[in-house]
Amino acid sequence: MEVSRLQRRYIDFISALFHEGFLDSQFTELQHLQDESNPDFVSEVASLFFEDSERLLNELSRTLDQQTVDFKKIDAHVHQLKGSSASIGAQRVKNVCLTFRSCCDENNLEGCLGCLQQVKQECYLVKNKLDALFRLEQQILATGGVVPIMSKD
Amino acid sequence: MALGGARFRYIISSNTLGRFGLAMGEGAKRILLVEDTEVNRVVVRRLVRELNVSLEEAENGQAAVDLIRGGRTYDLILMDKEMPVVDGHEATRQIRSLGVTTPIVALSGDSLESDRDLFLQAGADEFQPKPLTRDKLINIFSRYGLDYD
Repeated sequence: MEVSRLQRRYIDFISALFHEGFLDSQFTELQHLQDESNPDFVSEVASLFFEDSERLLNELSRTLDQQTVDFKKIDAHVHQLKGSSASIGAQRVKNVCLTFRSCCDENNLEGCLGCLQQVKQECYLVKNKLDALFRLEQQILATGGVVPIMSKD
Repeated sequence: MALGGARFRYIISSNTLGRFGLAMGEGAKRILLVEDTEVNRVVVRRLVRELNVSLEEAENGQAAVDLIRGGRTYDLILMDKEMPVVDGHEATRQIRSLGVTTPIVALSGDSLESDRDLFLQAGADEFQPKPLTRDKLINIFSRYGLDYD
């Protein structure tokens, strides 16, 4: 009873993450790569992503704070963040990165500063959401249940 | 289980990959992944694990060129576009100028026609948008004879 209630909560929660655009199909792709030999694959890749994004966001803040802004350097950092967010399926982060890169192309400082705030916010939000999702997974496993995974097709 | 159009299933056993589900052994094909972003490398590393290939990684185009100049040979090269030091276009050009005919599959998150054209002009065999998925990789490997019928 308890397990099925948790599984239902999990399905509702992850469905909302897709519906609200936090995640895309690449996240499901990663979930399908998780198995007994890699039981924490998704959370490990997510941790790596958040460590990397924190470093990149700090670099971006520092670079945008310079007297003369190096837009090429900014663009290179945003490119990395875009690539890694796409790899884990963090769709909203990736979408802000696309706008951010357009602002870099136009040497648009105001736009870049706005995008930096937005991308920080999106990283913060998706991290909280994924932390909650992984906690729910642990609860399901602790009660002897199996985590439901969305089909790829 | 269906909810709002989405379908769920319960994954209990290991993923299996049919004819690709072989343990890596003798004769494993050698793949070089040229990619600067660690998260992307970790994902590809996991994607190829059951595909009976041996994966080597280079963090930028220069590292890839150095490996090849040093005598390493591969059955396939997966080449990212934007990387520090030497980018994917230039690395592809340099690898071809060394006389290497190994298939090079260019990868980019931006599916721009200009990127594709530059890669093909540099000597890449084809262009694929990122991120890679297992199905995409299986198709790529099949096209270049890396499967095991």
